[in-house]
Amino acid sequence: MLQQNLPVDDMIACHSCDLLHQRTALVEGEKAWCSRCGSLLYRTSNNTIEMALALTIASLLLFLFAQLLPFLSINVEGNKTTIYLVSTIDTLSQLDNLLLGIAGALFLVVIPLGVLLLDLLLLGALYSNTRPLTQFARQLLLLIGRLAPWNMLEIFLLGVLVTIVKLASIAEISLHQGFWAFVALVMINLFVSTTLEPEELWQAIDKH
Amino acid sequence: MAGHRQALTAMQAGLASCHVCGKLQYSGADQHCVRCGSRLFQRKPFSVQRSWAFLITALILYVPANLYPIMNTTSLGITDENTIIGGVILLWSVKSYPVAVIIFIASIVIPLLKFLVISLLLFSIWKGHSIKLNQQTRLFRIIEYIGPWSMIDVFVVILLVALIQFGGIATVLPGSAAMAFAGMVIATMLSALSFDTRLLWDSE
Repeated sequence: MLQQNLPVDDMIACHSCDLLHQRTALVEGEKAWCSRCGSLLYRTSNNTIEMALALTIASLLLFLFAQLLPFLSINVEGNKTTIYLVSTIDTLSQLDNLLLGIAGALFLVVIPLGVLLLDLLLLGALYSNTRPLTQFARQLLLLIGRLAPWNMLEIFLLGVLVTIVKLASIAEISLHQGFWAFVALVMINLFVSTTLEPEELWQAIDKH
Repeated sequence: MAGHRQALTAMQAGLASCHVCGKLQYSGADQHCVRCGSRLFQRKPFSVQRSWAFLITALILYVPANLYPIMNTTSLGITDENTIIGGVILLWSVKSYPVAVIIFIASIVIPLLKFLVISLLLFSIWKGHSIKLNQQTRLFRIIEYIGPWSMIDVFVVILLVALIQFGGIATVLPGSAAMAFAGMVIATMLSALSFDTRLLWDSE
């Protein structure tokens, strides 16, 4: 049943069930759903490249604040220590549990920071519109897509909250600037990931 | 709403949408995506085999993850070994109900649910069951979304280990189950990433 004259550029196949659909223009805020399985086909992005770039820069600053400013202090029977997020990796690396140290460094620092830096490069390149870096931009976007499922900042935040509740019974906990920067970072991350469509970025690269 | 013409799938029309960037295009043997350059497939290659392999890996890791202690707490010379379920029971006994429920769902219910749903769907592909495909697809999207949340307990262990290092007064060390559990979550995520929901619909 091969049809050689389908307008493939105006069509989309559902990523859940493979059914072909004709693309139609959507009004701001509208979404297109698969007529067979009900999965989301595409939606309008209510976030421009300019906006996404601004939020990425803000996220990078918040990431630095979260890592380098005091995160929380813990007071056990007069023994008070202030914890920095960045020092958790250091503590882990001093234990003889290399794997847990690597897991901690990957999920807490390398992957989130990597995604933010790649976002900054890609969005910066698209926004400044100066050099012909289509191939480079494609590689960046491919890498971002690869890393995305492993970016677990919001899950880590829930882990922090659970830890605080667990500790609250045996110690006095006070939260500091680093913690609040981290909360803001997670909020912005969630906002960007639910409003910026990768498809839109692919199209922006094509037009570049 | 996007209209669809004569209920034709991309595969039936000789098309493929790129697994990486989603671009729809004519498909041929040994072809690369015109937009992003990734290898082009109509279906994820060896999807069922890979999904099973990662799922079985996860099931094997699930055993030590639950039998061995996830962390060892030493307080004033007395060492306590906590398994995952032991931790949940402890939290419940000190009336930390919300946290006990969160850990119970994230560490015990979600992994079991993932094992159940993914093996059910793989079985369904094998048998060519084309009943309630809408629900099967939705079920997969749900477990795909909630899967990574199992990592909460690993993050809690990492944080407690980093926070509680007070020499003789109190020390927390990671137990052998921590890595087994993290490996189990990663394996179930890889299993879900290898799974291709389109295979469910192919039998229709």
